[in-house]
Amino acid sequence: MRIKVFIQRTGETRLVELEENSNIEKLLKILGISPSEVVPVRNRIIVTEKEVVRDGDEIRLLSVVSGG
Amino acid sequence: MTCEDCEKRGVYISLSGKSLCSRHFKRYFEEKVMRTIRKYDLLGYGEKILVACSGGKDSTVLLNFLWNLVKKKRESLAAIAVDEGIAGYRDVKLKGLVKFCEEREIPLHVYSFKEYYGFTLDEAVKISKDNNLGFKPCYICGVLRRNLINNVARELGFSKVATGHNLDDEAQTILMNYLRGNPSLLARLGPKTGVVSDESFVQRVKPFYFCTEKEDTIYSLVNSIEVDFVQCPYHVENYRLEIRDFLNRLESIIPGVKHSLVNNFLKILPLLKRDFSASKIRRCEVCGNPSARNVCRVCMIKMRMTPFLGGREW
Repeated sequence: MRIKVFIQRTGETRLVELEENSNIEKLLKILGISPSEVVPVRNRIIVTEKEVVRDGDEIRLLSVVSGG
Repeated sequence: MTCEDCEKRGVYISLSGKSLCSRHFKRYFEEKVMRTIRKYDLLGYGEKILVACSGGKDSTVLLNFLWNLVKKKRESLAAIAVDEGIAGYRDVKLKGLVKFCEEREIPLHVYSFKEYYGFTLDEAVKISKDNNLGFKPCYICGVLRRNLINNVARELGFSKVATGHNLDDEAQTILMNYLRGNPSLLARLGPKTGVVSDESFVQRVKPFYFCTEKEDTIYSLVNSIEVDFVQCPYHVENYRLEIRDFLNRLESIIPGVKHSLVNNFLKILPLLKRDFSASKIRRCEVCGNPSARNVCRVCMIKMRMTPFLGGREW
């Protein structure tokens, strides 16, 4: 399945290919992002890294770093 | 994953693996901050607190938290923000902060480097680069901002300056000072800063000391505190960025490593204070303020910058 991911820190949107029943932890691993760096938001709802992603989901990875 | 306390959708998983919904996460976060305030005696009854705000998430969330905490005695709290003069960054951040304070009727004092020191940070960085003065942007900014906030807090009669520093910030600072081999700077860290108590210094306290950057972010989101995501243009020149990325990579492999670093540091902090604190207060030869060196950092920057200010007053 294909997931649309917005990465706030870099401002880029990426399409990521994931196996069925993958969770956000897996997605972060593929993207090389540490779970402590982002808060995942799925379809405008805050979720944990254990949340399973579904086909067509839009994931926003909000940066926990606010400034410098 | 559902909340272990109520079975609603989880927004956060603690280090021990416990999932919490937004309501139970708020309770967890607030209890942790209150425990920190009580354990380290950060804020006492009747104190006047000045919250140092950058317009970023951590300090805005702290301001909101403390504003709610002092709801029966709101005259005891105000916010301060410093406009260093970083084009396209601080102006955006301050706009959001001004709106936040206006909506809640929080008194906000805004000072600028330009008015206080006679130049913006952008100008200072250019002068330093053009004349090989060797001052990094974050060094100039940090030293001059702390000095300004301390002076204003003292002049306005505040007994504490509260900052939004979190566990990630502290873990980074600890590691940076270890790697630089600077035990005297390490001795000044902790939830309450300052080795020597002196009437010209207003003590700085960090109520979010044990909250991670991620927890601060989730707390801001579940409380609908919106902060613009803008990064400081000078952040790429900061050594801290390397350390932050290194610690985050390490945290992915060894969860809890940042907590361990800070908690173990706190165990040795009394020994560092005993062995590396200045036993006698020294005074800056130029301004007379307490200083670890003959000339304090503020005066050092001033002395090196003044010849290049084109006759402008500092």
